[in-house]
Amino acid sequence: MHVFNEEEREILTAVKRFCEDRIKPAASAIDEEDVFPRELYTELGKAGILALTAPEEYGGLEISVHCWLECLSLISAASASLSMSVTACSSLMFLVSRFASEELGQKCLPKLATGEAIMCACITEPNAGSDVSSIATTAVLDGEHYLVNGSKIFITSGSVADYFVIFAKTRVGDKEGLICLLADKTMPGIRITRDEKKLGMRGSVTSELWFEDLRVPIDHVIGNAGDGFKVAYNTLERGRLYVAAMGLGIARAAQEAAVEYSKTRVQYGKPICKYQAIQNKLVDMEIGIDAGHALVHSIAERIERGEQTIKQASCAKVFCSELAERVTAEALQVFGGYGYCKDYPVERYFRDAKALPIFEGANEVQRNIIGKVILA
Amino acid sequence: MRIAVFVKQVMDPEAVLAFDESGALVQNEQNLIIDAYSEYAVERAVQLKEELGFEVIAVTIGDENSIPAVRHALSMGCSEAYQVSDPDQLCTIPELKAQVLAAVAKEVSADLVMGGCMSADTGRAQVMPRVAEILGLPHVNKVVEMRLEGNLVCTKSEVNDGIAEIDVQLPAVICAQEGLAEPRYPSMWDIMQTRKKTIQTRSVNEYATSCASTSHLAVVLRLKEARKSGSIIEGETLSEVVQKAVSALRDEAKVLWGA
Ligand SMILES: Cc1cc2nc3c(=O)[nH]c(=O)nc-3n(C[C@H](O)[C@H](O)[C@H](O)COP(=O)(O)OP(=O)(O)OC[C@H]3O[C@@H](n4cnc5c(N)ncnc54)[C@H](O)[C@@H]3O)c2cc1C
Repeated sequence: MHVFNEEEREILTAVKRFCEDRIKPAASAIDEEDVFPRELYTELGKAGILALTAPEEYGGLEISVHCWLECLSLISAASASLSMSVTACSSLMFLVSRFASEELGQKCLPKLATGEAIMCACITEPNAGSDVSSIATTAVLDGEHYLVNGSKIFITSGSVADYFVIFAKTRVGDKEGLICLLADKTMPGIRITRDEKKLGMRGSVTSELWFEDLRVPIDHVIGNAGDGFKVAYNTLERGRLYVAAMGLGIARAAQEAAVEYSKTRVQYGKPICKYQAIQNKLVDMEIGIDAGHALVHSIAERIERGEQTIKQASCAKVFCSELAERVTAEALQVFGGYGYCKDYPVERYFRDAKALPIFEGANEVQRNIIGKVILA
Repeated sequence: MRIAVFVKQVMDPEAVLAFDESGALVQNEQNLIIDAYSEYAVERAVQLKEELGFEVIAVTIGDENSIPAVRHALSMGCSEAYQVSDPDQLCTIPELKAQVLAAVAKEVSADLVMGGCMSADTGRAQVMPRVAEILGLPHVNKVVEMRLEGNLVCTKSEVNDGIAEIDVQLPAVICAQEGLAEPRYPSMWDIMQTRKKTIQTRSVNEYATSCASTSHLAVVLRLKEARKSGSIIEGETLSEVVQKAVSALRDEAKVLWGA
């Protein structure tokens, strides 16, 4: 098991404090108002929290994967919707630093690391959800530019983004392939048509976008034309692990709230935690969270050793996202009628957790990936 | 000009307290944080450093658990840090702690000594005034505002129902109260930068003249007993309620006789 060194402990203490003092008190209003908390995000950037995973050459601090997973859990426990933007940012910083040119990296990474700029990943389309191969957005080579046309849906941070990582169909020689391009909001041809009204993760915007003759210079290709799948899958592998960490954070917040409540709520003359039915719920939550924790850190260990983690990341994503769903539902049950009302944060945890099995690759599809590996 | 700021590591006030069988508080590194009052002092000192170019030296006493507190002070912007190593926790006694801190303040040639007016854990409020006494310096307690005018420290200090404006000559001892300054969050870059700085260590034995001169000792610590739930007296009429209340006071609480 990973033991955090003194430096990591110091970072985690500082992140925890930021979450307690700045994020937690704002979380309920972020959910209620359903507006992206730009100021808080900027503050998070100024505090250097977004820089923690960025490479050093771009002003980042490059902490261990272990430590970053804990940071994500802490932020998710405070406000899962804010952690959507943080998770997206860190996954995309990983993508850019790994696959983009030095120039593109210099263009956006330092600003992403300080929270001055926001980036979004544009993969999903109305007719291409789980099935990424059905992407219909096209990128056609036109001299020194790619001409991009098509629409995207459910794009996290779409309407507040400065940079857009776009996946589109293109021609490579005589074959069709996927291309990954970096656009910025100053390029004409990006239209934001709406933000979705959602069950949870409110305050994290989920946008519908249209690209209409968007001209992206050819030096803004990330990886090579035709490498789109490779870029997407490598990034999603990391993103799935991050989602697992989010799940653990939400589950922990729900469990802690349930434990506290169960000690103070008295029925039939006893605090309800004295009833085995309630205690077992709390215990099962603890067992799940401990197991999830061990799982994500075993994957972090593999990543630090430079090993592939495609199957493992899918396992962690499925396990921890479903854990979060289960734990938040049970925590709500522990609160009884009060849990169903907005006076306590458990109903928010429950609504937020419901998103985790869907995005970053639905769990059914994750199971397909795992199945393919174990049956190969 | 040099400012010495004393910082203390305390249990997180939010943490759930636990005691071992001997009645000592169970501490682990997860629930230790820099004391809030020390932090106000550090913040104001660092602001003075930024405004006027002073040197700010953070000083702590304690076992290795006290290191994060001075590191935090360094991350906030202090120029140097000292830890007086006290592995056996001798300096939990205010008079001894004051002795040691006064000696360190002298050693670092402090023109201004700052610290919290009390600590968020024990709340004894003794160390700073004692340091002032030992050093023979003026001190102002519960300071909520301070600025420097030449050799004068102009302060506003909290008194019972108001504010006293008190000016003292340097060198002086200033005890920070909540409100003196809003502590900054050190950024992750500050934290990483700070890791490259060394913390100077001294041993408590170099300063303490006599560890035996202990006038008092904490024997055992325990939580206050939880308040028992009260009862609501109900009745049809006011006089019925009063009757019931009087009986309860007489027969159950036994605080009324003869009524
Ligand atoms: C909050 C939120 C944020 C998001 N952020 C982003 C973002 O930033 N960028 C982005 O590009 N996308 C984003 N998405 C989109 C997300 O990735 C997709 O919703 C997801 O991939 C599923 O696609 P779909 O919604 O079209 O569902 P569909 O693909 O239509 O799936 C419907 C159901 O069928 C199941 N299913 C589909 N195919 C199979 C199969 N072969 N075998 C078994 N079951 C199958 C699915 O698992 C699901 O249960 C986000 C979504 C949400 C909810």
